[in-house]
Amino acid sequence: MTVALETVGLGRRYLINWGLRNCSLKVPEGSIAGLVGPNGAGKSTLIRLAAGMSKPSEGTVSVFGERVDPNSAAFLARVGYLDQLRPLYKHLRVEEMLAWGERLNTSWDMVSATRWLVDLEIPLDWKISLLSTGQQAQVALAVCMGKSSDLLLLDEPMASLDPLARQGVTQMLLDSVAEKGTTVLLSSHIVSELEPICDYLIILSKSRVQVSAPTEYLLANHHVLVGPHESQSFDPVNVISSKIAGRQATLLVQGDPGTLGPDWQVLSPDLQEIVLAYLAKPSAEQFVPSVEMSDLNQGELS
Amino acid sequence: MTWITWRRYRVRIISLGLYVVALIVFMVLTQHAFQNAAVVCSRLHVDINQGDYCNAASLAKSHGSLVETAIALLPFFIGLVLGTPLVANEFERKTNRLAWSQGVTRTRWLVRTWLTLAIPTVVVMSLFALIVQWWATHIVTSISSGGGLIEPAQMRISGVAPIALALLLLTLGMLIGIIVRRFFSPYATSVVAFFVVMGVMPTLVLSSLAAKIVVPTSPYGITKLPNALRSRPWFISSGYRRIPGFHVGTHARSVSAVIQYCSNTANWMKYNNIGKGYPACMLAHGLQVISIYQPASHYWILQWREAGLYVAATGVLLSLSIWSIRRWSA
Repeated sequence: MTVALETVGLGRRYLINWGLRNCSLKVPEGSIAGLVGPNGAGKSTLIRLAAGMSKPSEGTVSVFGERVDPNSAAFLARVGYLDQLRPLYKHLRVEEMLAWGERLNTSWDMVSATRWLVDLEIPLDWKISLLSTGQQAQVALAVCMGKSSDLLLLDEPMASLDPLARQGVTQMLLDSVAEKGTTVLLSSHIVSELEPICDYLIILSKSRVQVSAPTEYLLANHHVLVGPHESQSFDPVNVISSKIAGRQATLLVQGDPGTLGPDWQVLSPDLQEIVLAYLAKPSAEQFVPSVEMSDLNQGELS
Repeated sequence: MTWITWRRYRVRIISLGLYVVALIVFMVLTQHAFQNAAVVCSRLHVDINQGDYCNAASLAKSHGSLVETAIALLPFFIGLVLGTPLVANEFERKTNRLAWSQGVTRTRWLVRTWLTLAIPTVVVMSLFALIVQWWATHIVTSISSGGGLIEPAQMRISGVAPIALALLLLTLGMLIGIIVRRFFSPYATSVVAFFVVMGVMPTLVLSSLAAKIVVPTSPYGITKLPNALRSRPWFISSGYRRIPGFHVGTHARSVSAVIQYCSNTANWMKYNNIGKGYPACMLAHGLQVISIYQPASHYWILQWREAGLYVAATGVLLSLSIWSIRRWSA
């Protein structure tokens, strides 16, 4: 399987502070990758670097094997970017905004973009400034989706959307991946939104990558262990989180838990548990499988 | 992009259009005032070209100079109202991130956005220049009291140079909007920069764009103008020049010492027998009083060279703008 987005030792410094540091990851083509992390973790910085909106201070970022070059028409044609501020020309009407997108992009899909907004009952003949914040976000998303790019970089696309619209966006992304094989990298604070659609997960914490792996691989390689805490000892490196209530301990561990005593139970965690555990422990060992993507998607996961 | 820029700027463009229309109306009105003043003054046998006073002419001239100033400020307003916000507004509203993530490169985006305003600027300024040329010529031929179209007051509003100046200030405003917005107000910076350009050019550069004519004053203080300067020249300045090989006397070791010596009434009176006091005194000390002119025949040479400088500077500024947005983060 080919790689849609790859970063190697990527970093971006803002004056004296690093917004992102030593970020190395690979997002496989055709996947929907979720990017999670607390505020200031570097999510927007990573997306902006991948979109060519910002220049790396160190390291490299490549899209479909080519270095990101914001001055290359070929790069621009392949990448769609939704900024978290949802900038739009608000003096235009919605239909004019779509027409503007059509003029600037050779592979513009006007039918999909228009249908998407019509389905959401957004009046096409209204000035964008008269729309609600959520509706404006939908227009921005429609402009981004209408570009029909091979890689979509979406910075918090679900923010300011109502639950129904979130469901719609989710479906739209799934359809796009299924129909066109689009690769999506989307950031969010809400893991439950990402869980049903993401097949790849990146966790950023304190400007560095904590986790970068296919979700199935991530789930298969993390376990919740429940049992009497004094009866068993674990390598602290593998323990991501631990809770002790009375005699009973609940641990989230990375990798093979090994041989456990008879009082211990092994459970499967959900994605949210894993994410929250990593976010609560920024010092946790990085979980970035070094095996090739092809292996990850075949042998390792089967 | 053409269409979106037009939609964004239509109120500003219409406002500038109304300003141009108002200027044309005032030009027509003042032109009538000039004609009437010329008739009135000639009936009174007053030759204002010799500096004689005529109330009607001075009134028309004061109104005319106000219109001249308003015309001269048109390129300034084009730069400030259209050029400065051209990219600065995109940065402020973050719409550059939207534009730069579409299928056109930043270079193409900037050039097309710039052309959307640069082409109408050149077209409107060219048409307006024809009207201004007619108006300025009438001022000069009816009630000018000395210089012709080549004088700075007329040079800055007539000919082809104002067209190129408008283009230059539009581009300079755009560049300031790209670079300076991070540190200072782009508008305040533009105002300062525009006044510097508009001030430096006519005072320090313009007169040197073509060979000047230097006219020496005779010992009798009479300046006999050569034929080239008969037709309303631009008097630039007066000064002194050393007469080559002249032995400097004990009274004067430097130009300033000679000037100081000859300015003293008691001293220049001594030279009345060989000429007219002051110039004769200067001449006796190896310094000749001179006047420097640009002849009226140099009007179009100066206009085209000034316009050429502005166009070249516009090219440099546009290249810098492209370089900046290609390099800088959104």
